[in-house]
Amino acid sequence: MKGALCIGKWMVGLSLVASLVAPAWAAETREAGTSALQSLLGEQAKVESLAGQFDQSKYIADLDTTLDSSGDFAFDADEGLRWNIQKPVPTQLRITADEIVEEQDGEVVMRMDVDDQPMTRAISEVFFAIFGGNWDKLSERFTIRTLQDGSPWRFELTPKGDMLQSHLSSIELQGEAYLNALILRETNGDQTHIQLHDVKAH
Amino acid sequence: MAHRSTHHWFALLWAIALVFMAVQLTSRLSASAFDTSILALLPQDKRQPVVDRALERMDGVIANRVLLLIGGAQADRNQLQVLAGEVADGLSASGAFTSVTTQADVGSLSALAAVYQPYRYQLLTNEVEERLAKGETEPLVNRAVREMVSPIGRPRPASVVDDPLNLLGMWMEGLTPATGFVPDQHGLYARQGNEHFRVIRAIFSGDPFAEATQKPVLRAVESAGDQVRENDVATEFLRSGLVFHAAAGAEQARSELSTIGIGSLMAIVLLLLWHFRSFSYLALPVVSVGVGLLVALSASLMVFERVHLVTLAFGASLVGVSIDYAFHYLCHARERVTHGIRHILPGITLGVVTSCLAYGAQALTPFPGLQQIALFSAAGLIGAWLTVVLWFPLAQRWLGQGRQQNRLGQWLQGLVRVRGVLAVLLGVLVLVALSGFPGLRFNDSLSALQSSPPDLVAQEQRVQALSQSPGSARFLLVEGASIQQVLERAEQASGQLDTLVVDGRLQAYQSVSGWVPSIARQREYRQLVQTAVFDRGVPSELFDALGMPAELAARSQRHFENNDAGWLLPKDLEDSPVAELFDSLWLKTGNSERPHAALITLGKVSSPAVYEDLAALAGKVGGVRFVDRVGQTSALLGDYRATLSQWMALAYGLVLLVLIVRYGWQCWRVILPPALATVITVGLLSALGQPLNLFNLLATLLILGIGLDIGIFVRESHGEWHAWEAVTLSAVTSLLAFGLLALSETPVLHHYGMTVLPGIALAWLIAFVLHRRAES
Repeated sequence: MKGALCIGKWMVGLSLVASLVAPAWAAETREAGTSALQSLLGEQAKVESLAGQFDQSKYIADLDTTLDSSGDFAFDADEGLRWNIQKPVPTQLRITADEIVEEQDGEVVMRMDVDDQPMTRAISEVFFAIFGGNWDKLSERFTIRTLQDGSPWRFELTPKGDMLQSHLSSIELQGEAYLNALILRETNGDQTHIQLHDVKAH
Repeated sequence: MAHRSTHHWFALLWAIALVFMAVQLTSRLSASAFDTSILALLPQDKRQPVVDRALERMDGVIANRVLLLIGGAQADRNQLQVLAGEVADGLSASGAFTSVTTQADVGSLSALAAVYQPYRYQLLTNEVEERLAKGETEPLVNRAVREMVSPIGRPRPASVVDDPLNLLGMWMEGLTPATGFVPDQHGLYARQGNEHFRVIRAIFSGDPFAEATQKPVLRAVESAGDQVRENDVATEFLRSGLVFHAAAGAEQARSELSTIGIGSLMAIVLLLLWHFRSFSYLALPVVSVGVGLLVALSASLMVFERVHLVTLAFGASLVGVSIDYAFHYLCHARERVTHGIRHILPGITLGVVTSCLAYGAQALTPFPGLQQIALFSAAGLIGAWLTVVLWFPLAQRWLGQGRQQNRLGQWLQGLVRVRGVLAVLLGVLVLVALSGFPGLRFNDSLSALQSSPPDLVAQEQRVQALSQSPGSARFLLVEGASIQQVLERAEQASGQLDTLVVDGRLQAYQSVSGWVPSIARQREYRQLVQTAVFDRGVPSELFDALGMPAELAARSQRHFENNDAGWLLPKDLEDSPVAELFDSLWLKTGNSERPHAALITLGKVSSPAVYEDLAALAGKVGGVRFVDRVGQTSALLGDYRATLSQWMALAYGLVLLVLIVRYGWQCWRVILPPALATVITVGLLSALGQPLNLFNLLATLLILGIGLDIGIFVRESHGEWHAWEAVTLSAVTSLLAFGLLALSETPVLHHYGMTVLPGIALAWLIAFVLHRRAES
């Protein structure tokens, strides 16, 4: 049951993974095709840190309304990812190789250990695997399809497992030099659009 | 001649009766006819039928389940998971199990959420309830906002309009079962330090005590074990399940009973060959003992349907007792030319009467084990006695006649010369025994009688620790006049248990009220949600903070007001994914007269002292009781040890009455050997530092039976050497048989043997010293 509870978390967590994956291979997207992606990602191991801003707009189908949030993010190959939501409430999320920690008002409100929570491990693993250049990890969980080759490009990830499929329809990634946006479509009709800007890589 | 032919007719009748018994025995005889569980020896507690029902339910849950754990390094987690999948496939393919699962049920949570969804305004976790009661809604609003925008927020079973604060999400999260087994996307696992364990659950059908059920299950698990051992990644393979203990118990009983039986028979054969030097003398005791056992087993299974291992141990000991009659006849017949049994009939009849009285007294106790033993031994003795009386005289023509060289007789006569030394030896033993009495201790704990192999017990404990699963031996039982009363009382008990959990003294517990609150509590919760959330405009605060249209707050308010789901009842969960778990906690009643009842299962406790807290807790809440099967069983063993001591006094009293009628004041010579032997034995065991229990006392009854035979036979035959030969042969045979019992791995048999061994030797010695002295 705990595992099932985590599915939702995992699913949404993957959107983060995708958002960080994207700028990585976007840089060399001129080499088209999925097999080419692999070599693009190989370059990714050289990226030591990434940072930028994000604007998120979540459409809730049930209520026919959108929920907006914004903030900044930073990734460091050693320290992991920080996802700081500034509006509407300041919340800090940290994903490392060992754990996922969420803080609000300087207080830890959630901490999930990678070893105790396999779903947490999956998020962390996929995330780090991509930055380590291991494309196989992502293709284990998703079918990857090119929607639009060239610049701007669009790719679509569709989940392979039953558990993910029941919640998540697809993740679409759009970008030019870096990833510009990702769109998360859930089976219940909800759609989350995350727009990235001012992305800097080192 | 008329007398002779009547005798023939009776002998034939006895043969027919035996054939009948043998036939009906074969129809009843199966592996399931034998109990190995120590609990089967305890009386059905007539005052607590609901407790029995609860115990049955607990047993039923675990009886047909097998848990297998494959352990290895945490780092090898993925390989272990693959291996577990392969092992599970192998178990499935074996056909021994009706289901084999490693998988967590994916769809279960959303199905369960659908059941709870209509009742979302009246289901609160303790934490949320406390906050609402204090009016602390701000943290709840902040949490809801965060979860709405965070990429890893808590799942929302109901929309933000239907359940603005996600009360249902928190309720669902609070349902996480009290178990150390955690599901991941591949199934259940447990973790301990750097070790990772994959869990396989397998269910089989059929009686776990039946050999036909055990064989395929054990074979499948054995090959699963081989599969695991071949794998380099797996370092441990743990098994847990009643069926393993049942099979081990049956195997141990089988092997030990055959050792004791064969040992006893071998001793008899060698003794008889040495003493009688004739194979025809050898055949007759075997026949009488065999018939005794046949009658005993047949009668016991006819009356009780299932016979316990301990009863069978007594059966093995019967080999020692009933052979008295055969020896007495043969030793007599060898020396006398006269046919017939008339000369020794009074002796062996008195022997069988007194022994049956001594054992029969136990049939009056409410202890099923004692009743079985009483019937088994009495039937066996009577069967052997009838065989000697009816059949042996007919076999006279095959027995060699006339006096032959008699080494045993010579040896005994030689022993008379050193009877002074024997008396001194006896005196020393009495002194040693006296020194033991101040240290007399009793130990009635059930664990001292645990008979499963230590390896299996260790695995079981390991699995229990890893699963942190509630053992079936201790739980709370909640009774009530109605379903709602049961729920209310369970809630009161839960409130108390929560403090134990918070203090870290109790790891977890599982109660029906955790799945379905009582109507009273649901009403309370709904009222709280109304006043603390909706009346105070909390939804507006939330939607405002989220930057969502204010209209949604009004909609949320309307949804709350229009919600009229009624109350969540236990029956609503009957078709849910947790139905199985819920059902195992709820004791359904067939008719309205029996009270409704539910179980609260308990996780690990920090120390045994917590059990006292649990008992005290149960005392405080009406209709709740703490069932401690281990403690209860130990207490019962103690009670019955005390009761048996009194019954022993009664047995001695009955025997003494018979002896007074026969011997008048001289009866003390007959009763003293077993009585004194018993007292010295108890003293010796204490001097050896061995605490006594029920089974030591049980053994002293056997000392009485054999000791009486010694006294009576010698007395009836006026101390003639053939009688001394007979009782000596039987005492030595019994000693050899019980020497093997003392070596038994089964604690019950061990205690038994350790008592009978010195007891019988002493009874013989006392009789020998006393009697020869009286003659001289």
